[in-house]
Amino acid sequence: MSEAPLLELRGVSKRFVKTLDAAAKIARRLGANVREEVVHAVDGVDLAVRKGEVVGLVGESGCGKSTLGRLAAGLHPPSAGRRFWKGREVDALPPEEQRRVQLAIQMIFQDPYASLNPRMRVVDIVGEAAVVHGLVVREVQRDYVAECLGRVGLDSSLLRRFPHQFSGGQRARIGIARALAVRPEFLVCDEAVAALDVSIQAQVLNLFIRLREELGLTYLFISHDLGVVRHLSDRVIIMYLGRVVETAPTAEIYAQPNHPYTQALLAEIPRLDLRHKTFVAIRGEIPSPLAPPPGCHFHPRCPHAMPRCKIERPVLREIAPGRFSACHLNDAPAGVAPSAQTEVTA
Amino acid sequence: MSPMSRREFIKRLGLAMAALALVRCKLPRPKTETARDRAREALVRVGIAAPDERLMAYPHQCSGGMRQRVAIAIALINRPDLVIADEPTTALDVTIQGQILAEVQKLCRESGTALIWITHDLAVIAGLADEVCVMYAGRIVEHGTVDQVLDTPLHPYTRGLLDSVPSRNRPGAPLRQIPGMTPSLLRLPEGCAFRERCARATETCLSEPPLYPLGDRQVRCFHPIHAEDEEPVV
Repeated sequence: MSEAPLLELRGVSKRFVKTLDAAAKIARRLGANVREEVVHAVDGVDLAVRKGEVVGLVGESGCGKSTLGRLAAGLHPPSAGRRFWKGREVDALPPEEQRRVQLAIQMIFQDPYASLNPRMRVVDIVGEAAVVHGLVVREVQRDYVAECLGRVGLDSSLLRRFPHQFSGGQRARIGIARALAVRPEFLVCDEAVAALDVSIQAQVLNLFIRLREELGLTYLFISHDLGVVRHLSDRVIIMYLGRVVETAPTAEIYAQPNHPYTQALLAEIPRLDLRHKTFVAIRGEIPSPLAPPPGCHFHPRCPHAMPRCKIERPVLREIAPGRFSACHLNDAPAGVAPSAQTEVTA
Repeated sequence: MSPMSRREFIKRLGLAMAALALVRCKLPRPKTETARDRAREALVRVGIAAPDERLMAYPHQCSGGMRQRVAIAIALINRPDLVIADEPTTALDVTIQGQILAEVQKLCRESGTALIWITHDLAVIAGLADEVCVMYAGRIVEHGTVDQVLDTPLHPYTRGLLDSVPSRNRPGAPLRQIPGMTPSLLRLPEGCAFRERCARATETCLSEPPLYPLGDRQVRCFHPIHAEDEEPVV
């Protein structure tokens, strides 16, 4: 690991503050108990992605994975923490280089129906950014876009069409073509296949695999579908309520999950080979990020919760080479630890 | 359907549910109280912790999983014999999906309610269903028990669907995919609708295949996949 990671986030946090409206401000002046509400969407997360790597980011909705994706892509400024591109801090770069970094990191959005401008034609949706940033001249925009569309498996006869004339799978491809049009090195894919059927999903995933080989791309692949993440990723990061709870190489995390949350999550996935299964509900739901529980965020739902978990926040630390987990159980003396825990340390 | 749009936004849940009970059945008097009790009972059955408080809550005060459970409770309020659920867990996370599946399964087993579960998630079908119908372009192309359909699919389309599931493929390798796109329902090809995407298609497929009975199963294909001429599904 001599080479600096392609993208690195150090201790980034993102807080969203719901500011008070005029009425609430007056009420507060008069002594009412109104306060600004703060959501810790992302809370002190470290993330490093090496060149050519595919990192899967998994968690329930509301856990901050999309916000982390947007922080990585630079669409949100972080409330705290620093962002590095190839070992250099992005904010310290001269403006022109900052723009180059911005272009090198592209994002593919969640909803293929909402993320394309319905009033623009495909030729402009895909080609606009490339022209604006001077990658191609306007005269050759049509040919350039045709080439981009060809790369994602769309016919160039579709150039003059509007987004509503396409199916969901085709729109997903347009979103990918748009991201690729500015020749990025790093793609943040936010639930890029979640809205698609299995057969279309397979086509789009194959496209991701092919593009990675052809263009040497690096992915941060955000999804709640653990099956998809397992198929595509080299490494998986599990998030819970704004914090990373576990990160490990894909094969290891699926074979021996360490954190109780990861274990619960993996046990929940329906599987094709389990017939007439009796479903058992995990206790509780993800708590509101407005008032996260103290200590370890997972303790109200955790089957192994101890008194310590309610007070002290567990730190993410290395439990085996390349594997990190944030759980107090890893500090427990042998014999107290749950079965999966002993397997990992054994 | 998505749990967000399913709920009437501006009504309190209890009001919406009780109104439903009032409209749909002949309730014993006093009507309002009985309707309210029915609504409360339905919420308890889907495992909502504090039903009295929830009856007075607005939909936006409930989480996605809670809303979906209320949607199921509304379906149950008139004690139906059959529930039709259209993609009820597609918008939800795995943990919440697990909760909903557990509740639905319990209801079917305890009260004998029949269930039609419409979904594109084959893994959920595997765990939940007894029988499966596979549809393509407006027609049922295969029908059998869940073990039959998932272990030895007869129709090439079913086979293609199963093969494209990531867990049935080697990690990192390209997924086996069905070529082409679903045909537009306005311009269906002549004969078998799956013909143009099918590796087994011949000239026979230019006429429309009937739904053949095959033992206790049914398949709409002239060239169904037989166990002997195809390697079993991994």
